[in-house]
Amino acid sequence: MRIKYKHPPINELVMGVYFKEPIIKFRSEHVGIYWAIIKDEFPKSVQNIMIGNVDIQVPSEIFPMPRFWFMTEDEVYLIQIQRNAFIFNWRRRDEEYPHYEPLKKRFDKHFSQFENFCKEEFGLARIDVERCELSYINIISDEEYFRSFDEVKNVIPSFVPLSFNDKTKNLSHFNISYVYPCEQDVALTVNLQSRRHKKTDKDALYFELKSSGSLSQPTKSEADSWFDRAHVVIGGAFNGLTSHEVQRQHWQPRKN
Amino acid sequence: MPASVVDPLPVTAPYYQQAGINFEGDEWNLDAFIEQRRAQARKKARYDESIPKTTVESLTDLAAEPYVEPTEQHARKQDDIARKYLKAFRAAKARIMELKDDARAEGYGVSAASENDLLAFLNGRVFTRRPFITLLDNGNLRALWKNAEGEQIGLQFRGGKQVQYVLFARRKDEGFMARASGRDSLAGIERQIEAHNLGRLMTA
Repeated sequence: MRIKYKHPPINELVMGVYFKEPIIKFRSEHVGIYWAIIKDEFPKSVQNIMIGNVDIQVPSEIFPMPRFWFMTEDEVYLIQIQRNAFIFNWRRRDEEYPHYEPLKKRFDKHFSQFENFCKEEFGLARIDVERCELSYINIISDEEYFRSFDEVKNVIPSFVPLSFNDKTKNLSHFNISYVYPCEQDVALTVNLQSRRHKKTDKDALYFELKSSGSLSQPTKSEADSWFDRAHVVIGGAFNGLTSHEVQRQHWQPRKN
Repeated sequence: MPASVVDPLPVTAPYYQQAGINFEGDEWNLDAFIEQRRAQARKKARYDESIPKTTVESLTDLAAEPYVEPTEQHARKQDDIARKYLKAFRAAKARIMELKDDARAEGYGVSAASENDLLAFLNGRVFTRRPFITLLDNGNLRALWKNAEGEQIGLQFRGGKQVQYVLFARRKDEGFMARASGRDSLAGIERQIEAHNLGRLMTA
């Protein structure tokens, strides 16, 4: 059973697809043509290094093609493209979390738009997707139940830091990853990190749940099915890992 | 002798020679220059503190490999393929230059339309094995990929985006070699290669 929360601690949701082969005809000069299609909705642009800090360069290219970000005016929605990937983010600003289903619809719309662009511009029959990723990034800071890193256990009851003497009571920083193979094609990565909140400079718990996996067939229906299963895996992990007390009192579940 | 009232103009090499490009030689200097600029860009990115790091780099050589996220592994694999592709592409381009030089020396020429189509084909799909490229009597270029089992992709670039092809594909279950030949467009030949599952000859 899926549980939706009225006030979930989610800060960012990321959906990404990685292609079977990089689109080698896709060059920096084409990025402007693509941007022109989405610019009304995504007027802001930023360049970043490619995921994995790689180049994936093609012949006759002087400079490596970066990863491009296109953002809405309020920076809530973000499209990221690089030669071998298409990624869509929702980021918390002022609006409430719209939940998975509407965001998946938006992802589908924008990916379809990108795929059509590639069909027209490069003559591709379709984009074959090899890997998918779904990430939920929760940031918890300055709450009644979490004020400092001594209180991580209030949020995640199974969290126990390594201990060698009483000094570990004042744990100052941690950066932990756990990887769980949940289904044949879905691995769940749980990342826990101590961070500082950018606005308040207070302790912030970074709690990321990321599903990733390879598709057995590079089709859209296979990807859709994968995302739905990955969503269930993440929901189950979130409900199982976090305190039921905090869920009930603060995040407030509403059953579907 | 009175001193000149003006300084002599400094004698400097043209900007492109200062940058390491020699247009009078072959094009490999340009490739080396591009590689050097890429290395600089990568180095800059690595040391740019404003860019968040995705991996923790060790200060020592460890006997055990750290866990690398599958998405990052995927990116590295594709980067490796892209590097092999660049190498194979450059080798193919060098071979075309060699054939053009030889033909020129013997008073012949290479069809520019055929060369353009071959380069467009090579620019449009990933291959990590360089093809054998030969010059035919009619001035067209032919590219051939084959393996030890006798499978092959033979393409004659006729110009005008037309390709004459000969494909041999082994049908393992039936135990014979399927053969296909004919003429197709540049875009169509991609589909022919995929239909016969021969793309692997270009990447194996």
